[in-house]
Amino acid sequence: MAAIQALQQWCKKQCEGYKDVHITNMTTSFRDGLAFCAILHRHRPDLINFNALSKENVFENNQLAFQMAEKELGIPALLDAEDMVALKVPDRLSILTYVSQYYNYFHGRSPIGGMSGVKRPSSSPAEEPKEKKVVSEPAVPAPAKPPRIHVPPEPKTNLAPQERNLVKENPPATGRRILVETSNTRSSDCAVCGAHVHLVQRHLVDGKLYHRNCFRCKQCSNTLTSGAYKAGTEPGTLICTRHEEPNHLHVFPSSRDIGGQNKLTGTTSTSGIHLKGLESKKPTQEPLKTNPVLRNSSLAKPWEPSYLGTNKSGSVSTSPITRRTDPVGGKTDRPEAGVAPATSHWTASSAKTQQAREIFFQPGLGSSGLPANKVEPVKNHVSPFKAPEAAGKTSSPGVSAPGVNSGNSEKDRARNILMHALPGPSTPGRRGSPKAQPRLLGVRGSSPTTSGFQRLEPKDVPNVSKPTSGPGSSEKPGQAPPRTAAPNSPKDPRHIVGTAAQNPAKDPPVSRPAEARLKVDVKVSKAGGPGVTEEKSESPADWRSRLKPVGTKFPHQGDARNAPKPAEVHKSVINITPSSAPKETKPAFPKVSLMVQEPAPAADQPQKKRLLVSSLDITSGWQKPRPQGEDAPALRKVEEPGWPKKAIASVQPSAPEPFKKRLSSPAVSPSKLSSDYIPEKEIQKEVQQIERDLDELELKGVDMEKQLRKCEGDDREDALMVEWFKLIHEKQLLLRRESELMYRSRQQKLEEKQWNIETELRNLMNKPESLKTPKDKAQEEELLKSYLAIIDGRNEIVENLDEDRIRELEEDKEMAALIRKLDVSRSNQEGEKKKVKFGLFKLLQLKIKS
Amino acid sequence: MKAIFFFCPLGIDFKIRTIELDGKKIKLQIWDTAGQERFRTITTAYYRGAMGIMLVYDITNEKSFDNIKNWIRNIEEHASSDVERMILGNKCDMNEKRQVSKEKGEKLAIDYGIKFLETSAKSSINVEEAFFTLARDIMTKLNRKMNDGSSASAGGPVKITENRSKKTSFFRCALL
Repeated sequence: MAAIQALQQWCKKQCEGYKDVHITNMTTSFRDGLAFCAILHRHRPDLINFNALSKENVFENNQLAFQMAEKELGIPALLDAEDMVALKVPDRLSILTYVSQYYNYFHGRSPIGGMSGVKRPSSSPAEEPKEKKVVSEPAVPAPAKPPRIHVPPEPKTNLAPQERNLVKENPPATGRRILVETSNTRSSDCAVCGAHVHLVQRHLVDGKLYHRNCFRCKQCSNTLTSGAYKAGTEPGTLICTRHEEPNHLHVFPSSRDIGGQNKLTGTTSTSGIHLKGLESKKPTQEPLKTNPVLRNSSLAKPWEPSYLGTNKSGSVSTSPITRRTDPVGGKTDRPEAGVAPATSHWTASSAKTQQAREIFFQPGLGSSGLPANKVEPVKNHVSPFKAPEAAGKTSSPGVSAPGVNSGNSEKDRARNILMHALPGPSTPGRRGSPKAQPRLLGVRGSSPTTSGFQRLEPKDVPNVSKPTSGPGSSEKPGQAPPRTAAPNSPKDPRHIVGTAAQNPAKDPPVSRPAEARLKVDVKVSKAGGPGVTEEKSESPADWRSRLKPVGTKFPHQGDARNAPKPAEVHKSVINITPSSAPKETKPAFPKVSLMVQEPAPAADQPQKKRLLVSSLDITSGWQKPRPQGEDAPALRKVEEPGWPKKAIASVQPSAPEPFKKRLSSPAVSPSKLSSDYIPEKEIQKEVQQIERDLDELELKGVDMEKQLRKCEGDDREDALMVEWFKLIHEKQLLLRRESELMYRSRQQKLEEKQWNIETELRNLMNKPESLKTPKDKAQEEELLKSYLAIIDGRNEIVENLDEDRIRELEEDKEMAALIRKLDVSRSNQEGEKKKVKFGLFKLLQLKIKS
Repeated sequence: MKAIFFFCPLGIDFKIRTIELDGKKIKLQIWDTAGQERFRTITTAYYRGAMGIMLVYDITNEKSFDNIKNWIRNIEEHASSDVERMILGNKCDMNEKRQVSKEKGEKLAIDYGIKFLETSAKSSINVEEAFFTLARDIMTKLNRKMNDGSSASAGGPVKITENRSKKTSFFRCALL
């Protein structure tokens, strides 16, 4: 109590002398927004013209304060202006928390965007704790406004307002329904899944609220970093900027270019491919915190080259597919612009509001929403129909169905499954969404077959076993139709064979080594060729072994195919294959794993525990996805520099030699021999354990929050607060360890990759200059670029770790001080008021930070 | 603590080592840059962030010693102005092949006001000391800065760049 009083006193003092601002409590005194504005104005008079404000303009005042604080001071808007209007009595805990951020900021500490930041807790129907004081006004809430949640998460807060406006303009009908239902709860709902987020689960980033378990990259399942994530192609999904941006942006232009050349014919095996390619291509160097714009620009360079690689490798099978990807990309890249296009194509499904829910409801939708997913389904469908060959292909690939789904889709599917199992308010939404999606797909796909297939897919999704064709199969079909018979036929057989029986002898030498390595866990092997290296990076992950043989094979086969094809058509194409292969493999694997695991949890889980659901999704997919993420960075780096077309061409021919050498030499990368080396399996294991611990903690935290709210204002509050913050801190420690492990894993993969490239490069360099062919030289150049990119990537990780460590040190100090003070205050309730105050502030800070 | 690179770095590489200095744990990010001309443009890009630089010549190779001056110029051009520097004469285990006397090396270092050590990576002579010396100098400088009022963050990253001017760098050119 004392601490809270202290905060109130501080506010009162800040607002002294401001017209119409009287702080008498931590709820209604803030409702008109003037108090926030006054505090801001006191410290930053340049931000607000206080005299121009009127206390009647509740929305505007709050909006102004929240926006300014977020934009100029980096204080996440825990509160929503709309809620301030809608609630006669704003939630006290939320106000306290938000104001404490002002306090922290103006004491020279900038709030660190973090998960524990408390977003306004609102009462949600089912699970939410009831708040005594919150009363919603009947008509006031603006129904038209979509919940903030739907807004695609943007690293840059600046865009947020604009986005919102856009959203308002074209909210899908379905979305509105949903919104209305939850009008009161929106602010405390997860931006990804739409479910209520309890304080302890809160992951507040850039002003948006997420479940900790929801704030993960769709593609790699890694926890996202503030400023380093973007809206996924699918509404309500998030992606690490490093994968996501390049894909979308680049895909569009690249596809066109390729199309012109006719090289595009081969479809990317799976949407995953694009993504992966993008990921890999995406420059690792990008600073996490750079503005989106900057990123884009920076990406653009690397992108083009990489893009080429993707196309070649993945080969864009059909134009429709590429088109689809484009719109998606546009959205993801620029939320603002994206909205408009989205409405045309996706609008219904994509509308941000529904995104999450719809996805959940519809199994198929989730997948469709993602660009990758869309592409895949289309491909699959197309192939069987169009080409007789395709049919054969599909049958064989059928086994690998999971591969088809992109990494993104996995989660969605899982959620969908769960949602089905759970009766929820969302049901109405479901229907609308499913319908919409099929249409969308059909339109996009343009092929009649697609609609039928798509529908089938959803069904498949729920079932563990998926009949749908694997990624490899999908690729084949796509490629076959567009391409001429001659080139296709040879390729196709290979694919089929490869998928069914693993690698056929037919495959080019390059492909073989890779496959073999893949099958065995590749950690040890050091590939000489570029293709090999990429594969290796992936291979280390445990997931491969877990994955079904078919799945693994597929990607490779796909590569092999691609390689041969391009070779036939263009010499340059060959090089690409290595890059493409990794991409393909990644998506396929994660999907598979998810599919299998998810269904079971869904069935078991009670409706109530959405938390659990989300966590389950993650955990299930967790192991596999992660490796991907890790792999991705490595790949990126390699490709980042962007391979000149010519260079690429040269690379392939040379590749075989290095391969042989490597194979013959049993060299082990030094990184593995290092005493610091942690086997990937162990990392995965620990991470999983952490996830379980976190889930447990969160459950505890949810209970504690309820208690806290019950005793709001009474004597037990401070004591409970201590417990609460201890819990939050414990969680924080777990999260740190987790992120450290992630870095570690990424680092190790990079090191191994570096070793591989280095080995190859040295082989090349040892060749007498006079004997080097232009190809050799070009390849040397490329390898060197890849090598440097890896170095940069490793360095980036080191720097991130350093930053984290420094911040953590500060946090620990704060935490220790806080808990100490609180404990003291508890024991001496009366005597130690000053300390208590101090402690409370610290606690609040921690809360925000954590 | 010792990892031997069997080859010269391909332009650049780095390792992380944590040492304990005066009771504090310090993480060193040690960059290994190639001295070869062909990597020059690559390596200079990494100078900027370095807090310390080791210039290494080969006492059995006079030319590598002569190159040190060029490297110092190179550093002055590309690295931050207050970077800590150190000159090392490596391969001091091969005294029979020595071309550069220790005195010569010391004199050069004095001329530039830089610390000097003769080392042997192969025999692990003075290697650790060299790194500790440089790290300590960096820390001293950092602490001074912090005391001067700028509130530098408590444990900033320490980066050391090792610059070798060896030409025949294959086989054990670097160690640490």
